Amino acid sequence: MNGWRALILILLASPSAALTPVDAPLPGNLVEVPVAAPGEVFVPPALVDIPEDKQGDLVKQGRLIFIDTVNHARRYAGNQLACASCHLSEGRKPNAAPMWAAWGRYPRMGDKPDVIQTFESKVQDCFHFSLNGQSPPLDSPEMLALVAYAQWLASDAPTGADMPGQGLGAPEALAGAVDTHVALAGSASRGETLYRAQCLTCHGPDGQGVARRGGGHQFPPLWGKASYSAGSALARPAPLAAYLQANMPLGRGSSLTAQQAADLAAYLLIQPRPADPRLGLLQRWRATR
Amino acid sequence: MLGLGIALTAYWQQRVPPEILTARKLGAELSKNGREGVTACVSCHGEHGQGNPEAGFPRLAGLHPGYFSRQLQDFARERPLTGAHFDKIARDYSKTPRINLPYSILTPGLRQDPVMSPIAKALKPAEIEGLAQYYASMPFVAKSLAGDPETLERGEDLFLRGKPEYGVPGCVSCHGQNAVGVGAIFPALAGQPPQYIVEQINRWQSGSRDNDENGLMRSIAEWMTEGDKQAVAAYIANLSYSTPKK
Repeated sequence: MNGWRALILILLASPSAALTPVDAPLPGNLVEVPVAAPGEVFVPPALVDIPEDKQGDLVKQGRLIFIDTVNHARRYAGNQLACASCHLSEGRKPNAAPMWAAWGRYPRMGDKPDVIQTFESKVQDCFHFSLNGQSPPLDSPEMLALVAYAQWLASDAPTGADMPGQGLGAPEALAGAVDTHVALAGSASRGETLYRAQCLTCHGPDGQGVARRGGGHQFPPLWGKASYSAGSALARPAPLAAYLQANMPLGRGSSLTAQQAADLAAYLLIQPRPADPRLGLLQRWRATR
Repeated sequence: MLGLGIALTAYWQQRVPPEILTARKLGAELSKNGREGVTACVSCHGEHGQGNPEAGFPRLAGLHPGYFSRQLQDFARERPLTGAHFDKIARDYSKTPRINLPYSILTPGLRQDPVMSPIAKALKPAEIEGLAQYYASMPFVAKSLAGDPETLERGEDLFLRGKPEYGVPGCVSCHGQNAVGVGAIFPALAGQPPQYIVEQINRWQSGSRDNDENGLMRSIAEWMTEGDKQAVAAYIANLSYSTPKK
């Protein structure tokens, strides 16, 4: 008995924790996450903290819609993309338009139509322009669930305040450009070289990504019929360059220079994609010629 | 007539090309008996390629053949010379034409292991292909290992969402749902022993494994703490998995 205790103590005390035996339970005291720069970005609550009540069920349903839109909001989704295709890490990643920052920023003047936009109308726009589908009505269960999910992610977040990591971020070279829609001049041919070197691994030589077996995408398509339409925010050069610089390649954000991001955006935006749904039928037909 | 056509088409689609069958036969023979300078694979990785969870030897059954053969090629590669190099006769390198690829990251994959590297060096390309095809054709069913609930919860959080505050994506975003692997680049993690997964992340961190595409895994491993490794390995070992039926 003592021998066993000594063995377990040695195993727990040894720095090479890789040698933990299989049938012994893994140490449970390793759940604390050290924070390198506390308070730098907002950290939304953990999934296990969703309350076990009706509101909590709505939040869980909202999360499912968010990460797997085509299977959980099928009647409004037009393509196989999900919200989390762009709003990375289930809407938590800073500088990838995180939900915890978006929740407190609305209502405000929208950049697309010159009217006041609410959070719900922004969600409707995402369905209409990026998912190429139908806008869910304000009282539809899908909309309620998505709103509940965003509100839960923004628990304890300030309202109406600028938060670090909100929106697409504003890298130094693009500061100001994101709002004025003027980007660095990008070269599509340099962008193609960059695409082949760094993006092709996941998004494929034809930019169509990799589909999941049960619907949705493992790696989302960047252009073509399955991708987002020309009316969405990421179909404009400056926001796309900001997004690319902050988030791509996945896990190596900020590794591209502003010029590289602009080149890549130029390459992605000369590719065909669904026409802006605000256009009339004839205009759309002409735009895709 | 139509039925015959459908049956023939189905047969043709199910048919395994003869060159792959030949490769599989070569791989099966080599994995069972080995040859001079090559230890039989079954002695460590098990008779059915299931690996050895107690010793931390990975499973090989059901891995993508492209991933498999690339790993063996990388095991066989020597670390390239670095540092100052002096020519015996001085040359003017400014006259040498160069291929300038400013955007490319062309790393020759490197994966060092005291056991596997000598074996991989002794293997011929045809044998590597044979082993890859043989193990890719093997079925595999992983047993779900029990774990501490709190560790599993943290592991699931890392697996699905990563650490977004550090810009670290979750495993699921490349290795696929339930860690089944995506193509030849992103290997299946399900069914691998937890010790193996932790050891590999340690090697990404130390640089003795450096054969990832575009430096993706290295930059993620840099952010992983000891607790992260344990938790995510426990979660992956807790997943049940079986190779898809043909």
